[in-house]
Amino acid sequence: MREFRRLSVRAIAKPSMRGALESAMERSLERRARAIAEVPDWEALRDRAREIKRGALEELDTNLEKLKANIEARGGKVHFARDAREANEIIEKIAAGRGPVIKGKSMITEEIGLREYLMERGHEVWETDLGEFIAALAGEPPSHITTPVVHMRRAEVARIFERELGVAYTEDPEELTAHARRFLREKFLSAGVGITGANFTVADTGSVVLFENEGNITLTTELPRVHVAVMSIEKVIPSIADLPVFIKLLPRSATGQRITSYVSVLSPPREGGEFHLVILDGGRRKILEDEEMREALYCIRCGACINVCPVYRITGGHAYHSTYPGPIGAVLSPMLFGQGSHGDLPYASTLCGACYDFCPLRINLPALLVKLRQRGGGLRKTVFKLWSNIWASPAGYKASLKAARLISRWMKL
Amino acid sequence: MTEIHYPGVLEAATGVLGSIGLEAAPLDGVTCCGQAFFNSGHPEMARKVGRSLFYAIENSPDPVIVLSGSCAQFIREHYPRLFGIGMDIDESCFEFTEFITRLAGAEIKGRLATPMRAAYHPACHLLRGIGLREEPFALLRGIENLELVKVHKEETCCGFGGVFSAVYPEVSRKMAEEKVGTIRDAGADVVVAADAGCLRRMELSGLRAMHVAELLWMGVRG
Repeated sequence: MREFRRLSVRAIAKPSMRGALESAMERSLERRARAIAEVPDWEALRDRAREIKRGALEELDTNLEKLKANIEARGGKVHFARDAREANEIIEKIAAGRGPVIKGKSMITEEIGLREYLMERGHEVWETDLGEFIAALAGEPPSHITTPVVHMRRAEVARIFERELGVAYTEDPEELTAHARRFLREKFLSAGVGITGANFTVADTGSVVLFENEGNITLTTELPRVHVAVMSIEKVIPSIADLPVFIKLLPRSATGQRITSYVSVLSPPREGGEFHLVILDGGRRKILEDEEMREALYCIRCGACINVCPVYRITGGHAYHSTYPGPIGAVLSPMLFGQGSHGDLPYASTLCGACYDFCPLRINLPALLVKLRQRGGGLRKTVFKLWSNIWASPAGYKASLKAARLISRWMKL
Repeated sequence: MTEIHYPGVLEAATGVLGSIGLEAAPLDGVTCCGQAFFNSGHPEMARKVGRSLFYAIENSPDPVIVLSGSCAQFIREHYPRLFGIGMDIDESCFEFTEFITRLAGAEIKGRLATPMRAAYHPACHLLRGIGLREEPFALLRGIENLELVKVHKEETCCGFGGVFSAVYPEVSRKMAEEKVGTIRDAGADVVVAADAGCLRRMELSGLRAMHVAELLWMGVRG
């Protein structure tokens, strides 16, 4: 219980962060509300998406095999990695001796710690998403899955750029972006390897689907000779015919956009290029086999549950001490990274249900959080046991209420 | 929590129901619904604690009215599985404002002796779990001299969250402070809700808090 509490107390002491979060989240929710209001069959769309994901996971092995066969038929390579270490090793081998590495924004590579892994082994690695670029310069992990530096104020970014890039201090967003752009342009042109995630992969066509707003992901897949896409097993959908549902659902839920500036449906490798798809399990098979928890794998990483979470708004993403913050992070982290280290997160929710309301896949996050509390052994078993023994009988209950009234008045509970 | 912190609610609720011709009596020999145990990861203890209430609901010839939204929602969502399906819980157990507006279809008419400006806080489990969104506002509009203010982001959780407030008290307090701030900004210094947990959380952050039943009863008595 200590880590989230310690970090949230620290976050509360930083009012500037909360101001940044509050206004960003509010804007994002307003845009989302407008964007879904114009879809007449929004609720049906959610049902459809859930059904697609359910089916996709039911036939997961078939879908992954099809995906692999279709990519390999075009000359791409598909690698399966059991855990983060294996994935990192595979990618390092591909990148060795191929020149500088550029990255598109991807949570899966954050999860496996790829940038650090490659840099420790002497690779030059650059994040090309503006938010990720800022986070990397600041030496911080992202605090949100779609907007990595949502917790930062403009002035902080200005200071980081001044310090790390040696440019004149400016708080003008356009100037700051221009600095990043100039700096990254050269990295794009000299890179030998481009690494991206994958929002979806499509089994029946072997496609890799990427949503973005900055164009950096497209450049990352096109400029370097080698493109490595990293995905976790649950990202595959059976058919290209399923994709329109998610094109309608994902940007609207994530940023309140009708569609992101770019949606790339790639059939790699491109001519003259080399393509690798790394498919990570990383603990997901275990979730898949667990019928009670399986729906956690329906998540498409839109971040709507995070944007609407009243706890996240107070604490920010770093308090969750995980790649995945907010309600979905509190569900995934104990399962992916262990109850021992992340068992505090299922309690970091008031179970208010806003996340469940907003999740485009209707993942019952509050119910999953309570199940994880059970699986972690529950809270203070001896205390609760004693308490439950007293309250099991109406007489004990009545007597204890009298006492509780006195105690609560006395302790101001 | 209602019984500990808001002992007057029972009498008020009985009075309000009486004013529309419904006779209500406290359910004897029952305990807490067990939600706190369930949400702390101890379903077997929730079963132990909730058993007497389960039997009471099952054996009651009349509908059972619950004075806290989250308890009502918990009972409806989890009792069938905790105790094995043996009753049609959705038709035997209701939250207080839900019962009056949806089941009885009644309006409460009343008038406060002195004018009051209050905010209604939609408790999360009543709002999202039971789906009661407009009805409580309509119910409160039946009381003259009561001005209901519109609160910014009124559907945001107050920060109570049961065991959450014990495990992460700092975050809970901060959430409540912000909630109380938005209510004050709306011009109210009283909050009404149909959930003792929310009421207590906001009261601890300095706001006067009243159960919906208490406010209605004040109006009915005049």
